[in-house]
Parts: sequence; C-alpha cells; structure tokens
Amino acid sequence: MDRKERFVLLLREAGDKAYNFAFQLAGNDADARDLVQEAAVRAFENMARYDSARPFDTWMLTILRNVFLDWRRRARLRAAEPLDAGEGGLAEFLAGPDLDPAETALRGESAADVQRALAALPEHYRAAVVLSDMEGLRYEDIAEVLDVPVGTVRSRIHMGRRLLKKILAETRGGAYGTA
Amino acid sequence: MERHEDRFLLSAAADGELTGAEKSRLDAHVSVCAACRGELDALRALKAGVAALPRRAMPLSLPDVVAARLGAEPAPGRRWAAWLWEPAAWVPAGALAAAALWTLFAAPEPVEAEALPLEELMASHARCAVESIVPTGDLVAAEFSSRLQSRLEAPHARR
Repeated sequence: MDRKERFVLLLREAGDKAYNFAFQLAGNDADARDLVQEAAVRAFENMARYDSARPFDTWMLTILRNVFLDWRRRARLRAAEPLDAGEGGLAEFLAGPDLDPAETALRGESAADVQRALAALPEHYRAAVVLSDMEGLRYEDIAEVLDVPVGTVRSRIHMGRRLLKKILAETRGGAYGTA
Repeated sequence: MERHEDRFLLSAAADGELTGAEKSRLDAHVSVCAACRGELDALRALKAGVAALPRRAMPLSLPDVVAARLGAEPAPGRRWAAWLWEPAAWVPAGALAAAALWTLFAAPEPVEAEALPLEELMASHARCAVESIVPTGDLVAAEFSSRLQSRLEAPHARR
C-alpha cells in the first residue's frame, strides 16, 4: 500500500465527521464537498506535519476549518455574512435577560427548527457547538481544531447555546406561537 | 447560582467538562437552586437536540475524487510546498545547498595568473617535455631522476 492509498483509507474513516462539519460550516452540500476535497488535498500535502499519536480526524477537522476560513475570507469580498458582520446587533440580542429555563428547553421543536437555529449562529459559536454536540469532541480537541485556548472553547459553547435558545424561543413565539 | 459569572459552568457541566472542584461546587449549588437545576436540564435537552440532528455523510465517491486529485500534478503554487515535505528530496537538496555554501565560504581563492612563479611554470613545461621522451613505465617517482640522467648521458645506448 503506497502513501496515497494509506491516506485515502484514513480519509474514508474520518470522512463522515469532516463532511458533516463542513456542511454545518458552509450550509450546503456543494460547498461541503469542495471544502472536504480541498482540505483532503491540503492534508495529504502536509502529511509530514501530522503527529500520528494524535487522532487523524481531529487533524483533518483543523485543516478543514482553516480551509473554510480561507474560503470565507474570499467569499466576503463578494458578500458579507449577515450574522457575523453585525456583532453589535448580536451583543444587543444576547444582552437581554435570560429566558426562563422552562421556556427555553426544547419542547417538540422539529429537527429542522434546531438546524435552522444552528445555522443562524455566528460561525465561531456554531463551530464550537457542532464539534461538541454533533461530533462529540472534548474541549481540549475543540481547542486544537479552532486554535484557541480551552477557556475560549468553554465560553463559545456557553454563548452559542445561549444564543441558540433565544433563536429557538423567538421561532416558537413567532412562527409557532407561544406554547 | 450566587454569581452571574458562574452560569457558564452549567454548559460545561452539561458536557461533563468540569474540573473536580468545579463539579463539587456546582453540585452543591444545584442541589439547592431550582433555577440552576432547570437551566442545567434545559442545556442538556438542547445538547441532545443538536446531537440528534441528522448527520450528513460524506458522498461515497468523494474519496475517489480526492484520490484522482492527489495523483494529478500539483498546482504550480503548491509545487514548492509539496516538494519541501517530500523527504526523498532533502538529500539532493542538502547536497546542493552544502556545495553552494562551500563555494561561497570555504573554497580556496582562485590563483591569479600573475601570482604563479615563473620557475614553477618552466619546470612544469620541462617535465612535460621529458615525459615525451621517456617511456611511461619508467616514470616511477623514486627512480625518475637517475634513469633520466643515464639516458641523457647515453642517448645512443637504446638503439
């Protein structure tokens, strides 16, 4: 088995995790495919840097996130991302009083509602929540993927969930009516 | 929670990411605080809701598409990066770099024509002339002078 075959084997094992993360970052399959392809090529070219004592999927997710950031940087030249661009508005949104826990627990929201709310999160919160809740990574591994300290991971997950709850509560109060 | 700053611990608790001391403190608080207990339950439900979202699986053809790209010639911008991480390329590259450094810093200065002593040039010229009349087999350094002397003294002896 040559170097390329070994790499493709690793990619098949880590692929679902990488693809799902890419989809959650990009929001659609076409971009997720491109992101995973680009990340895989970049990973292959940099295999000499890979520490085989560490999980391959975490390393792949790290590269994928970097590819996504490059991609978004280029995309921003064409169109600004609405939620991330309005940090002031977001701060104002989060600054309001916390909702009653009974009001914010998931109460029969469909997966589509949760997915929409997740997609509406700013990327740095969304990435942390997805890596924790969907991919099941520990904070230490999330910190590696996002290239931030563990304390920042903890804070981003907390803020991300807080925002997620508010978005869901608004959805419930708007489109679905207050329960 | 007594202090608003502690609320972020609830998220970490839902993920099982508290340190021992934090967990003890939070457990003690949650046992007497219905609001925080409710918040913790809500966070766990939210986490479960996100975890239960349908996952996107990688298209089966994607690894083959990637494999085809890996087999292709790297893009011009990537050639250098790819080459740098190829250990097989390091040996010749290192040798080339060492040769370049030796040439720059360690090689002896070239001798200028004017600096060559005239006597040495003449001696060299004479040696070439002698070699043309003495068989190569006789050119053994230790015996060279005496044989040359004897042949010059008896030029007709060889006939």
